Amino acid sequence: MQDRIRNFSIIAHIDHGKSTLADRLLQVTGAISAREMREQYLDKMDLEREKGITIKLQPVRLKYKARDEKEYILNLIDTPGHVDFSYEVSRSLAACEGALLIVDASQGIEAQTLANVYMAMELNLEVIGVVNKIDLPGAEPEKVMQEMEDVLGIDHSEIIPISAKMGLGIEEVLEAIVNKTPAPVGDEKGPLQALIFDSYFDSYKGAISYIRVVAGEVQKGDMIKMMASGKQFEVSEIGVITPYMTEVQSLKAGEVGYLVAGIKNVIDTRVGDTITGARVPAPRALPGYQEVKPMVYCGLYPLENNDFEKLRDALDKLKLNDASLFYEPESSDALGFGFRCGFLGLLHLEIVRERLEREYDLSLMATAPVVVYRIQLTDGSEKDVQNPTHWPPAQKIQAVLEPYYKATIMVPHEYVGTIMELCQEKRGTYINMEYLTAQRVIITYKLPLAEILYDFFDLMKSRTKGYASLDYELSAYEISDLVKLDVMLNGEVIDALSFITHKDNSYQRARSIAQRLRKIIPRQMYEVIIQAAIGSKVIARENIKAMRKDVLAKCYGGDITRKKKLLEKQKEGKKRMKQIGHIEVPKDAFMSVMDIEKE
Amino acid sequence: MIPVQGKTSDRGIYIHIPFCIKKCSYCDFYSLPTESSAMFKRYVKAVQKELEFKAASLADTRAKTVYVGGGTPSILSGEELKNMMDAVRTYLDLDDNAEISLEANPATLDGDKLKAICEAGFNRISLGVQSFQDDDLHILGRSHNARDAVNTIKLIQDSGLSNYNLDLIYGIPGQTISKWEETLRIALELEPAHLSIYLLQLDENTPLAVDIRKGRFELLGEESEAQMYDMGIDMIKQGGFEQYEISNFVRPGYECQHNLIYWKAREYMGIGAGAVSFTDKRRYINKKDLNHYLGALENGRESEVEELESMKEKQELASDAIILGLRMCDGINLEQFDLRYGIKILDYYKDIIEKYVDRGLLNISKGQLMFTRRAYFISNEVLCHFTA
Repeated sequence: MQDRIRNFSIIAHIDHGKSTLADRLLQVTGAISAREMREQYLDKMDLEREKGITIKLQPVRLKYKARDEKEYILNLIDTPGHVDFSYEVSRSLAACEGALLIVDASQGIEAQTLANVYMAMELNLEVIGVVNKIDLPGAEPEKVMQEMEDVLGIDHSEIIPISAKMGLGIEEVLEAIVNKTPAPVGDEKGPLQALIFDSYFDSYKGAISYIRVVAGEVQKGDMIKMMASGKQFEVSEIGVITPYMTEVQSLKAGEVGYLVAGIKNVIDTRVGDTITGARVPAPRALPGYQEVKPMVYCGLYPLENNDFEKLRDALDKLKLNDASLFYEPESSDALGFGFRCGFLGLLHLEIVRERLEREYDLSLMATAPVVVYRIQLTDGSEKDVQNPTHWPPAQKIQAVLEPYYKATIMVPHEYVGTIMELCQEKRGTYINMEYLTAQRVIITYKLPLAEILYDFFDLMKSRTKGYASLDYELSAYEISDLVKLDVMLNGEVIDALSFITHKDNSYQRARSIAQRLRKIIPRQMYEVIIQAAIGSKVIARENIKAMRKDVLAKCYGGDITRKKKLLEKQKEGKKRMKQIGHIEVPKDAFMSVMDIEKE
Repeated sequence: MIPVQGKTSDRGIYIHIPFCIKKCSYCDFYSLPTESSAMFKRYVKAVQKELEFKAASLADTRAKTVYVGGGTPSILSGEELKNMMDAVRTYLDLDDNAEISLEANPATLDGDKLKAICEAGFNRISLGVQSFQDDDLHILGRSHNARDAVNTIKLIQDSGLSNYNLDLIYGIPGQTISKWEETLRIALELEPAHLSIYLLQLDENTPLAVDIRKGRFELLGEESEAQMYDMGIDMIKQGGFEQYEISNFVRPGYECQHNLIYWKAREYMGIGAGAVSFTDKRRYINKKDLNHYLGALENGRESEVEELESMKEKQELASDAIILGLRMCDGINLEQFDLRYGIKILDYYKDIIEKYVDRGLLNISKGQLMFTRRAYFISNEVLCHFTA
């Protein structure tokens, strides 16, 4: 049985054509008919389909009759194409024996793809190279194949040139999966070990786990145990995704499918955990489980104060489906009641925020994202701070540590100087540089995560005309000379605008934030003075002159309807403003602390 | 039902004359440049017809004011104006003391025309002077110069008509504070009964707005505009006028009764192509289409109307009345407002009013809610909170 199964992942950079190839695989294997076909079929969220980006595809089981006349079961398990989700990537890869590496024929390999391929190689996956978009005018498949051989050691004669869009080379890909990916070899008779590589929440069935059975067998009615949490559940349904959910009697070693067990919350079916039998448990869990911790925090506040409960409900619902989302209530003098939320990274933050606004009809204010700082206090204790408002007074601080990341940047050689300069500006420490080919260089730096989040990525892209790509992973917490910068409007500290910055950058950051606020806060009835200060020391100042004119001087009979419409619009505009004391501040201002140099 | 103070049947009559010698560069009113007397005759006939149609529905109406606006109504001949006013008297119950106003352009008036205007029954003229500086008039695309305007005003004075208004505009590209001061000084020396000073406000489709977008001219900016406004108020008041509305000033007893009907949210009936009416809680407009208007009335039908807004709830009517009423310097009488709309403003809009009283933009005094002078030039900031 297992010799007819092939479990494979797809590794690709955003935009390199993963969804389109998946669509073709579905069509060629007959999983869905032409009538049922729509673009990006396996993209789960509307948000993904709309943005044309794929964070992660739904897994799918394909039946393929190969050229050897035998029918194979191919399980496609996707890897999320974004650095925020690298833990999930590792678990998806761990569920497979092979990986398709898709590289765009005009873009070449990107840093993150490289990181994921290395991860696949460490897990002993067979990597099948595919060069996509060979039909496009700028395509240089030969060059990209050579690069893949030089960089990754994939024999370039074995790399498959395709155009997923045109349907070219799809069968070759399927044959390669069958012929090169090793069949799974799990012990079918042993105790159950199934790896959870993803899960989601269904309002009828509860939490649904996507699993790869590594050893043993699981059947409907079995009592199972989650090895990390120890919780037990009774299996009420198991099945495969074809891409429709199709119930089956059992899943055996080597198979991939879904499992329903009356689990109320995705927290109880964590990605990376091992499912085993409650009666005959496996002696140990599969390796690699980690509890994911948020790396980035921000405050989310409803623009309308009385939407607080609505926001709580919405977060509760999103959390059912997103074990890595963290939130707890907090309050701000400026913004009222809201939540401090933790995310895996900025994309994760952006997705959650957008879903809250779209799917739950909320208007939200977000404060600037911050990393988790570790503060050693003079009394010898240590505390983690992920909200600048909780920064202790300077005299109580012994030392501050911030997270540093190992950043891997891939760049054409002519930009080496540019990148090194940028990394120095951003408080980076040089680690290494390596020529992958004569043209492509990998530069490794240690950088504070705060700088990566702030504007590093945008600057890197703009200064290299988009050619540089970046991957990063946590390296260590290290001591840094950091200070808290407060922003005051007419002398009042606006807590939601405070942020943490390196002392050396503080004057420049203070000036930028003051100037930026001057631009985005509209004229008010009174003059507004913007100040940025460290402690009681003001280091930047701007002022917004009082509004002088806001009138329709001519207003006679017929005009009034039109005028009323203008007034209504003006009133609507005020709804996007947060009233802080006497000052109306646009709701996006709080995030703008981050956007200083993105003008 | 809304108990209206006084007679429910008191109304204003507005007649729109959609013709002018040429379009001014800043004008976005419905008006077509023509000097065809045949067209004028047809149009006046159509207006007479419309008055005849309206006679039945206006049977219980006493017309307290008639305001003939445009366009440039003074472009019509004395005889046409007289025919039109005769029809008003024939079909409507015109109050003996009614204020009957005519909008006029200095380029269209001479002694004979003025005589005919008075004979037709007009007792008030609103003269579109706009500026006493030829540079300003040139940019505005006016068909007269400063000297024409002064001469015309002298003629009006000679005609014995004492109730006349001068319209002035400030914020014109190129206008300086001292040029504006000069315009105001000349206006005051001429001792009109009424003065209106309007900030130049451009609809984006007007030629002047296009020129500004293309960088040929530049608006003055809000600091200068506010300064001109403040100076205007001070000078005009020193000249013996009283300010009774954001943009309007008057010698005691010469308040424009027709404008007061608008600002007090009273009812008015519009006649003519593109004329707006406010009756039975609805605001609506005769189609802005001259050919349609003429065709309809010449074929024995009324012009089609487009509904602008229908106010079903008392809150909507109240909001309308506040937005209009706060334009008057006396503001709104709280007791009368309650009687009329069944809404106690100070309770219903408590938060807004407290906020803006606190900030010195609203004032409550002697049973009236009013703007402070500081609020006049930023009034939308406050008014927008009263929208329904």
